[in-house]
Amino acid sequence: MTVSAEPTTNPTTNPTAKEVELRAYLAARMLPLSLLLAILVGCAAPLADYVLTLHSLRAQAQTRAEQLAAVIEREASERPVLWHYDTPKLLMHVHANLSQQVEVRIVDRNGRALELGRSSSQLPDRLLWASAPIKIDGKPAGFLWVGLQADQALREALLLLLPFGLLGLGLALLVYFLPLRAMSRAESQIRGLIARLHQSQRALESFNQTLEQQVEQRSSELQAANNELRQKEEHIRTLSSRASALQEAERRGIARDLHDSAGQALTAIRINLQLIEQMAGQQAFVEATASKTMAMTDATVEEIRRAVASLSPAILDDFGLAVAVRRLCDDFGERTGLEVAHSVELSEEGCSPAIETAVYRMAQEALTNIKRHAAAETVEVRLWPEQGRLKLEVRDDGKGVSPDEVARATSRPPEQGGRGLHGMRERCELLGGTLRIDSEPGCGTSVHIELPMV
Amino acid sequence: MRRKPVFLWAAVVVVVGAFFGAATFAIVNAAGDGVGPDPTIRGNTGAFVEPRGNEERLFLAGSGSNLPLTRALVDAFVAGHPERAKVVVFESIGSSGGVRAARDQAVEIGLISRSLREREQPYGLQVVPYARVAVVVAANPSVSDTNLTRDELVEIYSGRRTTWSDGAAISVLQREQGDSSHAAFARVFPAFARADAEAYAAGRFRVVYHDRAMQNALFVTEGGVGLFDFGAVQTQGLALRLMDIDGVRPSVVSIEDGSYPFYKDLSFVYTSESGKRPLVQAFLAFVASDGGQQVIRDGGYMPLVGGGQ
Ligand SMILES: Nc1ncnc2c1ncn2[C@@H]1O[C@H](COP(=O)(O)OP(=O)(O)OP(=O)(O)O)[C@@H](O)[C@H]1O
Ligand SMILES: [Mg+2]
Repeated sequence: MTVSAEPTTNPTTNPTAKEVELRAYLAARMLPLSLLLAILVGCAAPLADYVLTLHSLRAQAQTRAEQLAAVIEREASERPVLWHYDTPKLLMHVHANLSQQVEVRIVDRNGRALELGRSSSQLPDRLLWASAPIKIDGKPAGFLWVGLQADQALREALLLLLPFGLLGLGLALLVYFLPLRAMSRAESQIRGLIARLHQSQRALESFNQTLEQQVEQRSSELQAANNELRQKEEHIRTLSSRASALQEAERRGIARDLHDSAGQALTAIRINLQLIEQMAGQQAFVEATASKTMAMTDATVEEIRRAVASLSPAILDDFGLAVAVRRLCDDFGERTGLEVAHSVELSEEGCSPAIETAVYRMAQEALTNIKRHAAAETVEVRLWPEQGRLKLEVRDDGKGVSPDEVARATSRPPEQGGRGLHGMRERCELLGGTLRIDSEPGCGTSVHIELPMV
Repeated sequence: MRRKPVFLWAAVVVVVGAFFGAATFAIVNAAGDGVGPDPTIRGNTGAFVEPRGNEERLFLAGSGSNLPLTRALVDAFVAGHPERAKVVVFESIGSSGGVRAARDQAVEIGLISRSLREREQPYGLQVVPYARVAVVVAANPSVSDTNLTRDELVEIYSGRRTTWSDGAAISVLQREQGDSSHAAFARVFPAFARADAEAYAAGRFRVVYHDRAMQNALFVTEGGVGLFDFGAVQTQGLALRLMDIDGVRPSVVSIEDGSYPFYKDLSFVYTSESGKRPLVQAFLAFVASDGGQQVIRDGGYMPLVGGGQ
């Protein structure tokens, strides 16, 4: 678009100039041709007429000269000595019989002009001359010249010039203006076409512009929507983290209550039952019942402890994540008899409670899965911060699991089968972290978790 | 801007130039080079016949009317002086030719049958009238009529009357305008002069230019009629029919007594230089002598020498 826009802006002023030039171009070439036509048509016939008339006048003069020379010769032969003096009279009367305006001169053998006695007052300066020899006794005695006026021929030619000039002019005007008219008609059509071309060009340009604007608008809208989406996502994330924190707080509350009230009460009940047992030692039935009740109470206490522990790892509140994970590993090793190596390099407690809980729970789940599925002999647990993020690695040397199984377990809905791995993934994603499980059947399993610190 | 069609204009200019060049060539070709007669001497002041120094000669030339009498005089003059053979009377060259020839001294004596014209005055010629002759209406011998009235004469020349009284056709023979015979009639008979001039302008009749030609024409033309000199008829004894006008017969006597009014005077003209020549003086003396006067009278002329000059 930008490429085509440049040449179109420049010639926008040119076409009108070019159109005008087209007609002017033709006019500039038709003008000399028309002029030529006018001159040729206007002048050819009068000139031809003039030339022909001159020819015939000259022939007339020649004939007249020969006739007069014959008359003079006849008379002169009778008076060979003094013919000069007789000739003027003769000529004067020959003249009187001539209808035409004729000038006659006679020049003798020696180049002397004869005095012809005619009035030489009206001597026209332009005459057509012709001559004939005068012979006396066969010897040349002089020349007789006849001059005819060519004025009439010129006047005739000039008269002819008028109609032929008009004809030439008319033809020239026709030849000049007919093509010019056709040209201007064609030109106006071309002008119309060019105007339409410009119109569509402008339309195209404006269409382009609106298209660009639309694209821009759409992309900015899209950008806005994207931003909004991201904001919402962020919002949801904070909401969900706040929800899990709330949940956690509630759990801890319940756990505390259970521990502080039911646990205390049950402990008190057990102490009472112990006293009862000691005091009614003799009575075997009471003793037995009390013992049974005590056992039941122990079981209940144990049960409640376990529930409390499972509801909320109170150890997190009391000692922090590092201690909690170390003790979890120790407890796990004790309970299962497996060799658990752990390295926890977390020095400061900079994590939010939700993160701590999630890490703790996921470590629990990973260890539980090892106990349940891995048939491993050694377990290695590592927890350390790295570039502002918290990393947890739980590795075993058990039988491992196929990647397909892992994929299925992490993505399947909770209704079908185990939901441990799925839960781990959910926790990670809710907090903006990642979960990776590296495993091959027979080669052990390692679980990598990465979470933001806060 | 587009270039102006310079080459087109140049082509047009070339074509138009070629066209007009060709036209000019054609015109010049048709009109000739425009060069007329180019006499080496203009104004014609020289003589066409060179005077021969002091050689004794007497050339005479001029009006045809003078010739019969002048020849008779010359014959008589030469007869008395056989040693003077160098005397020539040339054929008619008209009064004007005679004046010019005398002026140029191509001849010693010019012969005129009219008075000098105004433009001939500056030539400084001496005029010597020597005879008066009746101008007659002469007819072909076949014509039977002997008398014409002035009215009949006018009718004939104006073309209204075309037959003689015997029914034969009239054939008028005219002299050129300005002829002395015509002038003799015009002087006293304007109606005739008008009719004659009109006929001449209309080209109605045959025109002859010399007395000799008139004489011949009158003899050969059946029913022909024309103005002629009484003296010429008398001198040469011509058998032409001479008309009485209003009953008056032309003769020396009728001129002398004034009853016949149509006549003309014959004169010699010569330059003062020619006048000093002995032969000229001798000839003029002879004409004035009794012998000369007798020759004039015998020829049917009325002598004027002594009365004139
Ligand atoms: N450390 C391990 N070594 C070998 N196999 C394991 C290990 N951890 C998990 N698995 C396999 O992955 C499966 C999925 O475990 P998951 O924790 O999701 O379910 P579960 O342990 O079977 O049930 P739940 O955890 O819900 O009580 C297990 O059934 C087991 O086959
Ligand atoms: Mg599990």
